[in-house]
Amino acid sequence: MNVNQPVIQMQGVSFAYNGRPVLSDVDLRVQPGQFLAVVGPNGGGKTTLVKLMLGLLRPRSGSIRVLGQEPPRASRFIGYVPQHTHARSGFPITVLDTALMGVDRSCQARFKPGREAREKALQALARVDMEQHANRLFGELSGGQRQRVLIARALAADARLLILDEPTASIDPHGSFCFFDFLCKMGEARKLSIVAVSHDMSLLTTRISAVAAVNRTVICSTGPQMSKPMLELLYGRHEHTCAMDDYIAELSRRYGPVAEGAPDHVPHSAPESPHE
Amino acid sequence: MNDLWQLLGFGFMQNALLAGVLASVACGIIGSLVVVNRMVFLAGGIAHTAYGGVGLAFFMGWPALPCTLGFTAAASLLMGVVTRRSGERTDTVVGVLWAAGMATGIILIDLSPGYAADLMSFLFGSILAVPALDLWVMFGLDVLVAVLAAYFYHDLLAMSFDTEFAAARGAPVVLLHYLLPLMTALCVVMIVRVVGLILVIALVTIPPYLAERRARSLGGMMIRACVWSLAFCTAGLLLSAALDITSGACIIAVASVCFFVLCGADALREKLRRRANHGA
Repeated sequence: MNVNQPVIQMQGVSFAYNGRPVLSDVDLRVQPGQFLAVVGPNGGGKTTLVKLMLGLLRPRSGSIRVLGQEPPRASRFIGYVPQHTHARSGFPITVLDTALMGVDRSCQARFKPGREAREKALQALARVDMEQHANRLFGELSGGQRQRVLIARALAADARLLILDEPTASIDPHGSFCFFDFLCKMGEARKLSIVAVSHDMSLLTTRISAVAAVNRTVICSTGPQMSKPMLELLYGRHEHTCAMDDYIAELSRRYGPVAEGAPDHVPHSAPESPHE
Repeated sequence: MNDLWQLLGFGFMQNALLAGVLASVACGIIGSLVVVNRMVFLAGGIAHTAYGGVGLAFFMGWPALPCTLGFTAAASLLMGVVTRRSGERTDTVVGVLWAAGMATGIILIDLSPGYAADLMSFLFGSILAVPALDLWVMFGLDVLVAVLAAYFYHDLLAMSFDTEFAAARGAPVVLLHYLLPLMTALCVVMIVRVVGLILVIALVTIPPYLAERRARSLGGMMIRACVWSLAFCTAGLLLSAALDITSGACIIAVASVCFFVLCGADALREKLRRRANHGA
């Protein structure tokens, strides 16, 4: 695979659930090594976007390439951390066995996992600093620890791309900032591309490299910033007299492209178009 | 004690114990999958619809076993379709199918001329009157269930843990979604004839629940569930013979008492542990 080829490329993608449009005309590009934060309101189509990348859903129109292939084919190289696992805390599984689920099944025997597979799983656990818990039960762990194990499971797949759907939903707000910081560092260290979905704006203060605002369609920016059009996509356009307009102005001052620059620059410095 | 040895000398008692062993194997494997996937209600629905198959066989004069099997398998696939399609509404729809299957069976048996099957024997079975042929059929079923569970072990584990991840990793999630109710249906029909509907539900839920308390893997849970189930069947059978009470009900009574005692002990231990921590 070409090194400079985009990890994810979506062009003119639309999707509808039973005739109800969820996403339309989505253009999106993620470069190797990028950390893309996907933000947007509930029901805006964030999870749908992720499922399209994974090939769990097929687009109604448009084209999607993930790691240069049509989605379900690349799933071997994607580490996926779903929004929530429905496993109860009583589910009989150890931390190591959870991580082993991510290891490619071709190097596993039917019952006893091979040494190679175990090594891979333990390495993945070490990367998230959980290897000392390998023999504990998954259900005994705290929310944050569980989330780390689920990331280890995703990493164990030889992942080149990590996709996380609301990874901090079960972690308290303080912990979630640390968690994003941890993700950024790990991504940089391992040259991983990361796509993380979140409604948590604190994500924007970490070292992410691109933001995608999702609400029926997608607007992207490069850098940890939100342009005015992106904020308007999320919150709508408001009259100057409306309090919401002040809020958007405040947010775009804080997260906008040129924090100290003149607001006039906003539309120019926000590269919305992925076709460069 | 002498009476007991004498009792074990009888062919029907040996068959009954063997039926308990064979039922325990199937229930331990299927029951564990049912419990971790939270499909107990679905399994109950499948078990009750089986009575519709019994009724149909009676009404049409068809051979009972294949007819009941076909009917229940079809019902389980229908439930598979329903649980895939209607998401939030599944429990309601399963409830409807549950009741409809049962009512169909009763009406068809009412309409059938001649001898009417006893509802009680369907509910509680007659483990003391198991013919040798049924034992062979159950043995075949056990082998089938064990082979399927072993073949799909990793996929079943991944799907039970979280379906979305399993699907993203390319596990045959759709196939398993239908296979699991189908395996449940096979298991239930075979065992209903022997031990009755209520005992099937008891064996599918109580042993796996007790097994889950200490198990560290799904496979370990299955094995523990088989052992618990076997212990209940044997103890219940011997007790029922000693006290001359209905065997199926006796097995369930043993299992239930064990369940409540162990759950109570767990709760008490937890409470004491907390108090000790508090005091420290």
